Amino acid sequence: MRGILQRCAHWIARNELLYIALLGPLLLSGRPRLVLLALPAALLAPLAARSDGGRWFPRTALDWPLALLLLMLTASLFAPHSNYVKTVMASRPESYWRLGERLGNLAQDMRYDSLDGIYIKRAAHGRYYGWQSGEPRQVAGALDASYNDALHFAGGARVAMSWGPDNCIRCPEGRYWIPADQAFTISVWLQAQPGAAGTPLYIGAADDPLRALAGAPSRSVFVALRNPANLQVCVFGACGAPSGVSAADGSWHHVALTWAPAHLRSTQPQRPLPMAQLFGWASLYLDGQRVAYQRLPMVPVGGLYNFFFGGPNGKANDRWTNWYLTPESYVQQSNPNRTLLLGYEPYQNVPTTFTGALDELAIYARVLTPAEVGMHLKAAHAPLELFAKVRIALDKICGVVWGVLFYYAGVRWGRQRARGPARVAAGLLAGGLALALAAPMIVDRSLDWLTKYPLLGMILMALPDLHTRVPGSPNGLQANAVAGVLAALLPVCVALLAPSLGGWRPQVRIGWKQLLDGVIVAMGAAVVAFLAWPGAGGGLGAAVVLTLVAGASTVVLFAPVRSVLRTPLLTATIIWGAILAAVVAVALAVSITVAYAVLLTLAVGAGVMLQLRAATGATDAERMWVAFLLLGCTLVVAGSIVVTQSRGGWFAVAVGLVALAFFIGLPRGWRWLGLPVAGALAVAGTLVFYGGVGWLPRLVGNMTGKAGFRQELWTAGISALQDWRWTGMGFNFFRSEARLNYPFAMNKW
Amino acid sequence: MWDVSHPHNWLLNVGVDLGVPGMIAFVALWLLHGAGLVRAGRQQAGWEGRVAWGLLAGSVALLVFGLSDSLPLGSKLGIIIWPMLVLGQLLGAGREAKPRSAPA
Repeated sequence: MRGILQRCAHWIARNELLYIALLGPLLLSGRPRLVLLALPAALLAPLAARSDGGRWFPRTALDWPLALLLLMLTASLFAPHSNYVKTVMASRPESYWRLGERLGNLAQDMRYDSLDGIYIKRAAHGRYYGWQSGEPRQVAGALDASYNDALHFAGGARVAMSWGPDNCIRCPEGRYWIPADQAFTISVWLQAQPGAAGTPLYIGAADDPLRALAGAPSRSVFVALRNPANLQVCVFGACGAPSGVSAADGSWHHVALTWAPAHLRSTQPQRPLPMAQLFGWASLYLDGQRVAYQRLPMVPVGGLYNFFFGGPNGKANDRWTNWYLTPESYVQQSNPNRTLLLGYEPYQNVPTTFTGALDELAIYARVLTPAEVGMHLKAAHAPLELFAKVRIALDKICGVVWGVLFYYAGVRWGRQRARGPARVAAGLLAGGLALALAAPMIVDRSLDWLTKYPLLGMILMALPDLHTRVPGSPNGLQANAVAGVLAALLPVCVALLAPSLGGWRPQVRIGWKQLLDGVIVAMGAAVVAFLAWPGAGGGLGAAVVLTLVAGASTVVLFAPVRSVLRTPLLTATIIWGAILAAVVAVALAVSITVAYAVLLTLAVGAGVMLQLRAATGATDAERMWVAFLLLGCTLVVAGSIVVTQSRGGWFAVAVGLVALAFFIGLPRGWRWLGLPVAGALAVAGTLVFYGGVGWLPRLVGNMTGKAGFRQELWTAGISALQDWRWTGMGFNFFRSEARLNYPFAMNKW
Repeated sequence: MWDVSHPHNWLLNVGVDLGVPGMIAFVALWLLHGAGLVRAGRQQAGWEGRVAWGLLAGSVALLVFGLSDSLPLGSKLGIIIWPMLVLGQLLGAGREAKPRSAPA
């Protein structure tokens, strides 16, 4: 038995790289059962190397960064994550405001197509202002294991928040109100200092015109939660007796108010119910315990019983305030007594300004059961378990572990072989070539990619669609990421291709003849660009053609033709040019799919012919074969990058090639200049892309939305980094945590 | 709805996933990798030098791509970095860290 184990260990040690590579698909699948098998097996590799007389891991320059990465990977599994938001969202609230935004004026509704509010405050002179960016309004939130803040209502100056109906861009009618014959629940977290009074939560309504005509007080209340020191609830204008319980002790308390109408009469929303003796049952929960259960009459509010908590102006039965911000951030208010407020209740004879904090306000169109209320409370204090976090991050954890093992196996393998670096380079390029060939067929084909640049979208559409066959990626590979990978490989292809220019060096000779040729070529380029412009969907084609023709004209102007003709690169270019011409002809005459097959056939055929010619000892044939191969690789990778339509990928390639030109074009002592030049280009390009430069959309198409999208993501990312600064939030958590903790406008995009 | 699986900045992505120490490790990883490639490019002639410069330019391109997008660590396409790091080590620092000869 021991002998068998030793032989196994010996085989693994000898074939470590192959062993790790074979385990890759299993580890990267992210499927728990496969991972449970593959991960221990992968970890056997260093053990086998050690038992075979080697080191656990070969010593390299990257040891400590990799060790730190693995350490942080482990630490990230202990990062705190709250279950509360997911639990609330699972209860399907109508609206859910987390009240934790640190920037801007919008109080984001977690329901993507529902209501956003505006944070406002009332200054001493009585006008309302939107919160200024950076103005402190938050305190630490109510939830354990969450970095989301809460909305703080300071004493003194009155602080209020209003759900601005005009902010609701997409909410369909019916989302922002609950019919009177329907139950509802409001839950909120409340923090108040001992003895604090006031009205933390007030959902008011329009003045009641019938009452006003009758000379009665016109104030109207849908829902109010009054006096934290002796909680009292009001529903539909009627208030129950004070409950006798206090939430004013400086701690956070979960408060839930449920309302169940006893009469279910109207099935037609917005139709006034008869002035009958209607009533309902109100329950008040404090920290999961029901502390009040009261029978309250239903008083029509604004002539209606429906529970409005938002709605656009001008709609039937609507009397909501029109809030909006002027350029000076001054909040216009058409009628200040028709709004939905937090921290203050209007039209009371006693002070109602609330001092304390509110967090996690949710409205449900049903009665939450006591068990559900208890579950919400429990979720607030029960962080996500370690096992659940491992399940969420499993695929990325395995990816990193596999990567590190592959790195050490690859270094050990490369050092033990004479031509190790050459083989690794060949493998890297072969992998890149395979990805480039497959990429147009396996990238995500959502509408965005097909309509970005119509010409390139047409090419994608015409190729076979295999994107559903990518294991673990049902939508196919993300085109931007593919472009990023290929952008890293293209400079390697070009660097290896450079010697194929042979002894050719550009010689600058400028005369009248060359200048005249240049003018003619430039005019031709302009004509071609003009023709290509509309077909390329906004200028990309024109830009590419212009660049190609400009490059060709440079060669015509400055290159001694005879010396160019002798280079393997030109021969390879001519062969590839002939192949591509044939491919284009087939694509136009038959189909792009057939043309793709023709491309592969001709490329392989030409390669075999050149190799045979080299085998017969033809002069310079081997260099020609290498040039042909590398040029083909370069063309495929570059073409694939173009087809991905990733502007970030194109820009990265451009910067990489500029850096490469410095690296291999300058004298030995000056090559380092490529790095600062590339850095400067990257910074300048980023500023141009995201700086709203006028001419850019004409060149690369409109990218306003994408730029705003990324800037919002960066803001969310920086906030997340601040909150989880020492452990990180862990792999795969950003997608959920960003939306839950830092809701932004992109939720609506 | 647009994809928000990562913050669309590679360094920020690593920071969000693994914290500030993870960011430090990530930056150090690329700096050491780049330094090794510069050394290899300057010291080696022939194809090895060209591959070193090409790989350095490719790494620059990858990091520029990472300014507004990301290849998250451990993701399927993110595995590209590992053979790049292997090649960089074999070309550059790897030459300096050959295993010492065993004591007699």
